[in-house]
Amino acid sequence: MSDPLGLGDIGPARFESVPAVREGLANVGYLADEGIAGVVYLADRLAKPVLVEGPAGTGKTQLAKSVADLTGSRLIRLQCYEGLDESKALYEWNYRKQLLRIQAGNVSDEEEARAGDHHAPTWAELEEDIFSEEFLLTRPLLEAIRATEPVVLLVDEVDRVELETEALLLEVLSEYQVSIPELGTVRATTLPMVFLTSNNTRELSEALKRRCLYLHIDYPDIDRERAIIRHRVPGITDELADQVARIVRSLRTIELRKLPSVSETLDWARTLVVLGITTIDAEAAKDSLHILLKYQSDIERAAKELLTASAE
Amino acid sequence: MLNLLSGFVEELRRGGLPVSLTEHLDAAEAVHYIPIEDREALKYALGATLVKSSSHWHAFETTFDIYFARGLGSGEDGDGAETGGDSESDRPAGDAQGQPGGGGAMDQMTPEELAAMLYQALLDGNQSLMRVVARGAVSRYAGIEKGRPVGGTYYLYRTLRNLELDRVLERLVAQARAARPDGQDLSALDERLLGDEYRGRVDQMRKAVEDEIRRRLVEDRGAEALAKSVRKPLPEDLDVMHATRDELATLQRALQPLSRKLAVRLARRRRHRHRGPLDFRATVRRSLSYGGVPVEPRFRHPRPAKPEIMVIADISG
Repeated sequence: MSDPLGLGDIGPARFESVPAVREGLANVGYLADEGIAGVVYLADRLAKPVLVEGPAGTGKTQLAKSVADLTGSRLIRLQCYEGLDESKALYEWNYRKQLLRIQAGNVSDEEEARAGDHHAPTWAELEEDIFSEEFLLTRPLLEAIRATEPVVLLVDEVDRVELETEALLLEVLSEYQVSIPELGTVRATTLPMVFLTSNNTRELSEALKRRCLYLHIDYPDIDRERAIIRHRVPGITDELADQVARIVRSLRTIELRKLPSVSETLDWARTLVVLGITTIDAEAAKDSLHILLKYQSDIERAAKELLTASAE
Repeated sequence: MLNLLSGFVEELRRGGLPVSLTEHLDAAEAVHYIPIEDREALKYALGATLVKSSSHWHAFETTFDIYFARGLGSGEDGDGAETGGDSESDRPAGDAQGQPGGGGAMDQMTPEELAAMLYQALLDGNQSLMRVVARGAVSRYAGIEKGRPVGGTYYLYRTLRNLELDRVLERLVAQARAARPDGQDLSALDERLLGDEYRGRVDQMRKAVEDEIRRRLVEDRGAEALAKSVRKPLPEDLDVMHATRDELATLQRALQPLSRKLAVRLARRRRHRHRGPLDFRATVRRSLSYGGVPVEPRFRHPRPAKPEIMVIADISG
């Protein structure tokens, strides 16, 4: 196999095959479909980051956590927000410590001068000293690159940073290295698996998209949703899980401001179990809709559509 | 395989998807790691490397079905075998492969038998039976003429009209209503759920028919020619005047997040420029020249809060 990225050895494969990924994820409690498992497998083989998009609450962040669980890696998380900059994402010099070091140098020098063998540190020596690794504060991106053990890097909600900050990520994502002017270039020894999640509040740059594998996680189909409910909600009966999944599917066909996501479905199922409801009738559904839907107008609409008559 | 992939990427680009050279290379590399006989895995591998926006997924899927339906063969064979097993018909798996539009036990079926099978397939939600019915229905009703440069919409229409899916749907719901043991009416909630369930299955059936027609057309005229006739504009380049209902729905979905994106961007810019809050009066006044549409919002000058100074003076001495 040629080595187009110049990455050297991309390390041993983390996963054997696509079905193995799927099974492994299921073991740590994440029920992936064919597409998700396939992309995770490829991300490892091609040593590429994965850009995960999709509606809120469909398990984008959870995927990264589960992969970390599965591979036994440490999860390093960079939560993006507006105004995130280099010093918070990459690295920062420990300014206070540097200052202390310079002052401490002066003090010890004075003592030495009294003792007789005066040797003032030259500027070059001092500079080399205070810009060494001892004074470097690593932030998530650099930490993931420098880690010697296997890590999973999660860059959460990457669409929240400005376009300019996004460019910071490019070097890390494509070359797995960080350039620090005073120190030189830090390269990754073990390649991290990288997941970026986006809620699609703005279009990401082409350059970023090109470097990633793209994975769109949509609402699961009914069989998978049923399986997820049964898996994640302890003590639920098959019958109730089935009913929950079917009602949620019907709700998603209605035009609502915010469709119920998987996490809300799970909350609802848990609530029903706690309340001791075994079959959902119209009353029970109406009383607990507010867990599933987050807008009053949505709740009214859904109640009307679901409970009055069959669809148009 | 690489040639096929190149053709596929070419076709995607002609369809308007922005596929860069790097992405093409990625896809070529990705194919190495995917077992070639697994069509689904191949689809997701290509999708992840070539398509970088969810609104393009549909266009990708259509093109993929055309290029890799027969190209790799094995996927289709697998389907055939599975179908044969499930429906307990003794039809050889490769049958439909060789002779489009002719031969096979399916064609000897009467319309009544076909309708009965369709009903059964929808009642159980049996996917493989649906595919069998789709095959039979297309042979019987579509009347595909070889070599005609069409996209298959007409064949689809002909087949579906004869299958009368809407009536089957009604029958299914009526059947469910009658099947209540205690004879009482279904509650509104149950009825709604059942309706959605069957509607989903009917959509699956429709898709099965569509796939079948497409497969036969590819056999007839080759992938490239067909891809040209079924090429559809992406949601962003859609001609609104001539859009179908489905296309408009896609458009609606594509537009929905736009307002949010716009709001985010405007808010960001406003904060960036340190402008004050919206000046409503000035905006309305300004809007008069546009006929009352607030085209140009006006903002107040930012007024940084003045620091409060307190002087504590000790004047006792």
